[in-house]
Amino acid sequence: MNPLARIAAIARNTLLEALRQRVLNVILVFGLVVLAGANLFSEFSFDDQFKFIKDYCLGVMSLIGVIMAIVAVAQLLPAEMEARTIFTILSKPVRRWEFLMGKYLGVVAMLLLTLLLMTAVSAAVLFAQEHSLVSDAREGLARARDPQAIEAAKASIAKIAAAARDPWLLAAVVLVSLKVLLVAAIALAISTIATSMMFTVVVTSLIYIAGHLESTARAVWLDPAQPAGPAAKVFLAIVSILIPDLGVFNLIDEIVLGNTVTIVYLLKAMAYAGGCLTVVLLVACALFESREL
Amino acid sequence: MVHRDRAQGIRDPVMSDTHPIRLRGVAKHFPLHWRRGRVIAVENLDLEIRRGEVFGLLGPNGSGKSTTLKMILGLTPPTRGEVELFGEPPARPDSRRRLGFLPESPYFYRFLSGAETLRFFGRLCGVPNRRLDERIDELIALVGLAHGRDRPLATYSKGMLQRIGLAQALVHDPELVLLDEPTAGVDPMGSRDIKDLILRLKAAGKTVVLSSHLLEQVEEVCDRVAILHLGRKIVEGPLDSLLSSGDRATLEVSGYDAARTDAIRAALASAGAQLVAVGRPRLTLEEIFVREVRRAGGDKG
Repeated sequence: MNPLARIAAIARNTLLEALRQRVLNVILVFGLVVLAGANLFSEFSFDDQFKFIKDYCLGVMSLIGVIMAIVAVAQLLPAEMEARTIFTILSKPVRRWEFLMGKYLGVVAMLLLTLLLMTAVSAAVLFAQEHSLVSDAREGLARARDPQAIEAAKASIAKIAAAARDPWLLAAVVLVSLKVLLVAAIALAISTIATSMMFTVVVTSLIYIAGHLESTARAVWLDPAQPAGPAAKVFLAIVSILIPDLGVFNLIDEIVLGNTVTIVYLLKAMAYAGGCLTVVLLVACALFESREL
Repeated sequence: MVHRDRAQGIRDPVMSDTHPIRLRGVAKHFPLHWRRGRVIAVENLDLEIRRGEVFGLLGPNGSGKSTTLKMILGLTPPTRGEVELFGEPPARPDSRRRLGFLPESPYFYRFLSGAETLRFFGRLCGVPNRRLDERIDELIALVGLAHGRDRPLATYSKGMLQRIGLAQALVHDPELVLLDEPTAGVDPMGSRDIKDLILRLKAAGKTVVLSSHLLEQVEEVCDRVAILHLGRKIVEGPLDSLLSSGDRATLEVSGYDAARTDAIRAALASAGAQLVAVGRPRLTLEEIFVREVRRAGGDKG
């Protein structure tokens, strides 16, 4: 029998559990927060309004995604142990790593679905904003008499459309998703040695914060000009080596400001995420294999 | 199955065929934190379960029954000694393919219905999809859960959970069934049904191991028992020989007249026997309960 079929059955079940517990209601919260925020700054210039909405949507998306990843993964194993369902499953011809990967992929499916829906809500807000600004500009166009004003109105309609429909926003969504999946994998690895959900949440949150400081730590470690003592250097080296650099995925601001992010950068970030995910998941499986149940 | 195992080259095909489970000198210790010593859950345990028997693993709470079952299932490794499941170490998933397990007070996934639960476990056991629908119908009928088929497990009673637990243990038609406290917390109707099911499994040639502290229930179904106490096996043997008291026997007599007891005593004496006690055979409370509830039509099974 194929391990993939068993992993798929466990993943499907984990997703179903999340859906039946109405996890996706978080989308309603997201929608309300985004709508409330987007309409607060209508006195800004259209350019600033779009920047704000994009920044705000991506920021909230990233925050909700990371919180959901940590909490959803942290409760996976404690819930299975408490309900004893893990014993029933592992008494079947299921290997421990298959069980763990099934649980992880189920959470991944839930997270990707949530991120997809949050992207759709954000796109709808941007579209509504574009629609209202364009119809204002059209009124201006209808009133315009001299050719210069007509040209100006046409140009501003084109600029509004360009600002609203920036394809690089999707790149930002991809980077946020990669970060969320990586955080979920880290939480999974921590939860295999944790004895409580709280431990996983706290430790993963600390690693998340350290992950954003990793590039600084590495720079200080590798820069011979930095005046750090040997103990500090060792500490920085450990942080740099053990903790993934989550700053790689933090390009929301750059993209919102319209600074070009290259395809090459995007591919490198994806490869980096893939490498980190592989290592972290292998560690999680190895730790879970030796855990006393 | 047998041919396949032989092809895979197991250590002792003959023994594994006649003894699905073997424990030799098994011990399980749990170290306490901060070097405060260790808890001895099981010590120096030898067990051989024979093919086709119903074996009872008895003992008070905390005697090591559940730990023993966990070691047989490969959920926890023994500290010392050797556990074999169909001649292989139980940590290998292939050896668990022929085994079904009902955990103690099973809860499963509360958001799944009865049929969905069986489908999920059927998939984990590799029951082919085309066979699964048919198998779910069979099992629902077998454990008498037609009324719970499409209800979420969150709405199940304790007895219904135990029934769905039995059904999932049997989903892939295993040769060996391990039941941890199968009748604990179940009403007499449910417990009667579970005992009947165990006897049907035995009749179908399955090997059944059940752990329990409800002795009168074990007594009805087990061929052999072992009693564990503080992690050690203190008694093991066939139930019949453990329960028989030497050369004594019970006679049931019709047309009995108390005034002529002396004549009966004399007749027995002439046969070299001695009358020890006279009493009236009574129905058990369980028999009355089951009969009356069935008569009232309340038996959902």
